[in-house]
Amino acid sequence: MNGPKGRRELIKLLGFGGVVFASGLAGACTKILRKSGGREDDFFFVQLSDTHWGFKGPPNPEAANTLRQAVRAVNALPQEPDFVVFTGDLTHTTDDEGERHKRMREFKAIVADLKVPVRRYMPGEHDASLDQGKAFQEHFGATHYSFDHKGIHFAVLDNVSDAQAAIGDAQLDWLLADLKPLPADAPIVVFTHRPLFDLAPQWDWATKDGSKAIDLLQHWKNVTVFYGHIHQEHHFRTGAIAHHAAQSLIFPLPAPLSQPKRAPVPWDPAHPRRGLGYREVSVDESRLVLTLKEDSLEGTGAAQPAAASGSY
Amino acid sequence: MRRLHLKLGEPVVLELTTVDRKHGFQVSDLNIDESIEPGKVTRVRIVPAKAGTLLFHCDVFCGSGHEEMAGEIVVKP
Repeated sequence: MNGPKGRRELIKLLGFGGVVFASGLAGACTKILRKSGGREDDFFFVQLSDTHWGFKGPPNPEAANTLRQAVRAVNALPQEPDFVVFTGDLTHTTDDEGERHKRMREFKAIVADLKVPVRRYMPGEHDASLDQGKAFQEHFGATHYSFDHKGIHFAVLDNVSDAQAAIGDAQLDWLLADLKPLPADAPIVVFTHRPLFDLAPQWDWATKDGSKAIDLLQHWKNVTVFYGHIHQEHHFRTGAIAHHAAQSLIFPLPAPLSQPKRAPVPWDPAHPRRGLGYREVSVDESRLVLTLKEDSLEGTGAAQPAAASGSY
Repeated sequence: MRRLHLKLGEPVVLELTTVDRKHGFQVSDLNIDESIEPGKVTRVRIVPAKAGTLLFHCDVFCGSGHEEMAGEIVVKP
């Protein structure tokens, strides 16, 4: 499989371990990796986040189209990902319960146009905090769960159904029980909505008991967390754990604490999709090196994704 | 943005109430994290120990307009 996996040799040379920066090499290598030693080929998945279906407002006058543009862009990728994952805030919050269900039905109908048949969902606070995830579960299933895919264990954590942004001890107990059978060097990917670490508690960019999850996850050596919520690409490490936030598909937010108020970056009619995009994550045959490619919706009419801005 | 002006070293007690649903009052830099329940008064004592600007926000996701429930505490000498 070629495409987003091309930077592996340089990544290994850079040697930061796990996930590393390898900017500007998108498309530099088209080597096809084949099954060897009983391992399966490389694969990749796509992370989409914070689509906020139902949002209306000046930060994105094209909000009624952006989700469809993202679907078209993912469908236009040269290769089909193994799965896509939506890391929360599928819909924009509404106090009207009927409208909440309507937005979830509409969201589901739009993403049904994705060619990739496997879609993983989790809620953001906009989907779940007002009814403790009830509507979300009705339309999309469990708010926390795990699954295995080609040698990687994936765990989905819900840090939004509690309106105070806590995971809760019951779910942490579940996580421990879920991971316990895995060896210390097992590759583990965690999907969640809010950052598990204190990125900017002053802006509500944190999880109340996220440190408990991080302490628990530290027992495994190869853990990577993908999350959303902050509407921008961001990369951070807590010990051995890498944390990667994705761009949103509704409007970008400013860098953490870069201004007094957390407010959307004003919409620019000259660049209507600037700051909007999604992420391709490729996994090499060792299952220990993840390569990230950030795709932008900008400047393309979204029929095709724009060139990658960098990769990790 | 909502601003609360305080004087350095002068203690204040904030009385917080809600008329609709549960909200929160969080000032991370002061380790203040309080819930505000309907029908109750939540009292928060602050002794401004240094001049500057601190951010506060509602940390209970409360629906439409939640992101607007934020402001600054400005402490002046």
